[in-house]
Amino acid sequence: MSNQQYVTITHYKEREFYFLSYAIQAHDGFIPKEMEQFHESEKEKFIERIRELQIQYPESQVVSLSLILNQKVVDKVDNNKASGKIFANNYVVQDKIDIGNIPTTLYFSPFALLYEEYKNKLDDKLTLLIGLFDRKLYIMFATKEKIHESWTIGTRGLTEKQVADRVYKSMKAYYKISYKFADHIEMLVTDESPKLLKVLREELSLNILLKQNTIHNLLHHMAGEPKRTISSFIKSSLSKIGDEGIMKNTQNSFSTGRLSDDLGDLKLNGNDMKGNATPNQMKSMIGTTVAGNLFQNLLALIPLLFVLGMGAFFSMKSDSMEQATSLRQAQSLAQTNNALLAMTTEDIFSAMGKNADLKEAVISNSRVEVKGVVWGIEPLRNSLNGIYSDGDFSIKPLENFMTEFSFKSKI
Amino acid sequence: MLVGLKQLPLVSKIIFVLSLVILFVWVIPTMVNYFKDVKAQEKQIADLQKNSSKYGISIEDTKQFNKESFIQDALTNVSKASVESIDDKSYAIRLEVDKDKIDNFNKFLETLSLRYLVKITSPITFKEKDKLIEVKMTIQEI
Repeated sequence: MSNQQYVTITHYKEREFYFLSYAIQAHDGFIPKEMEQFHESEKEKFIERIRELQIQYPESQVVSLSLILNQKVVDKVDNNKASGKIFANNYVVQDKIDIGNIPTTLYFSPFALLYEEYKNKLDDKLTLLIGLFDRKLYIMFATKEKIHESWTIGTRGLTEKQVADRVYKSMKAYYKISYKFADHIEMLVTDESPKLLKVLREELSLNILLKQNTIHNLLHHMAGEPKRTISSFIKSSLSKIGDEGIMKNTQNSFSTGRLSDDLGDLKLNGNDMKGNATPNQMKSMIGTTVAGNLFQNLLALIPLLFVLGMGAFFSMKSDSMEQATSLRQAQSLAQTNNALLAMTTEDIFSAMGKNADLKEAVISNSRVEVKGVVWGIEPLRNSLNGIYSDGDFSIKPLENFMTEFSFKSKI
Repeated sequence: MLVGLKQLPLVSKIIFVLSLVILFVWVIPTMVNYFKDVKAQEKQIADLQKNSSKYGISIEDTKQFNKESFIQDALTNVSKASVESIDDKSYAIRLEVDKDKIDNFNKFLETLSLRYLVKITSPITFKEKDKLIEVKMTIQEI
């Protein structure tokens, strides 16, 4: 057997068992090979088996199915959630792809499988598509234009009558929104459930066209053709199970969501969306819809705290450095002024020399005023005018035959 | 990296952008100012050191003004010295210098701000008094 054949390895978990299958993809369809079953206690063995198949068939995709209840079909893609396109303007979204350690490269929603099965049958008439996967009902109202509404209904612990009642309630709920009932119902089941089908037919009073297939076959079909695959697999905004996953065997995994035992798990997703429009937007705004986002937000705080810490540190250092610098600046200026004062004082006393005796002097770096008794008028005048040419030198005779001089000048 | 940034939740993106804004608007200018001040201070210290080395003084020894210490220092150059507080940081200085030793006063004046963190805030007045010269000035701590 050629190892270069394109192989799809499919797996999913139902109750406490993992189910594994693989198929050789050919031009005219796929050829399913063996199906294996592992108890959840044999998880490691199960993973090892997937890896063996991946090694055996390098050209392969590991395909799985999201069986969580918390997924819905919406009109707009939500970048903060895991989403897959399943119609021209419809996306199936769920909070996240819960990746454990089970290798998975492609991940589909039951809604995508449903749409793929019935897309060619859709017309202008409203069709109710029901998919029964792992005891959960994935329900959507669709026309050829779009998917109008979707629900997920858990059936664990419910009687067939109760399940049918919930489907009916969902239809009534949709009628309240759109004033339309489905013209006909298509149902795709992955497990035989004749009793449920019978009760549904009775409760809804409508003919239900049934189709049965296994999850493995549906997944082999979905992953069999790149165009089909690319258009509808779920991409995670966080894990990047995404475009690269088409070409590579990315080692991603998922675990199925636990189905709540309570009976109130009927969800009118459309109504949820309407009712929660603002909270959802808020969640999108604050990005805390999943723990991963919260963790990323906390991580994003690290650079902010680092920047704030660095800013505070340099701000304090800068303040103290500025103080030290201005102190040195003031000291340097004071030193220069003092040196100039000392120089002026020295000049004045040198100029007086033995020609005069000082009585009073006022010396600053802007002006000089000197008064004293002069013995040699001309030498003193010359000396002082030699230093301060614009100075005002004057003399005044004293009564004791001495002469007083005064000198004023700006510097 | 840009692809990674695009995939972050909105709050993370806002925090990231905020961090960048704070970095460029506050942190980097503060750092630049700090390093400018460090450089300016180094230059001033070098200039002061060069100046003070002429008098055999180290600027590491520059101290805060202290009356007793100042008087003690002054008396090595002048005959009499007294200090009177004007306010918290200003002092009136009165010195008496021998007429023939006015050079000592000049030397003391030149080195005053190298020894103490003070500046002279008034003109210096000289008055002849019994063969001595009385010098008065006001200084202020810096």
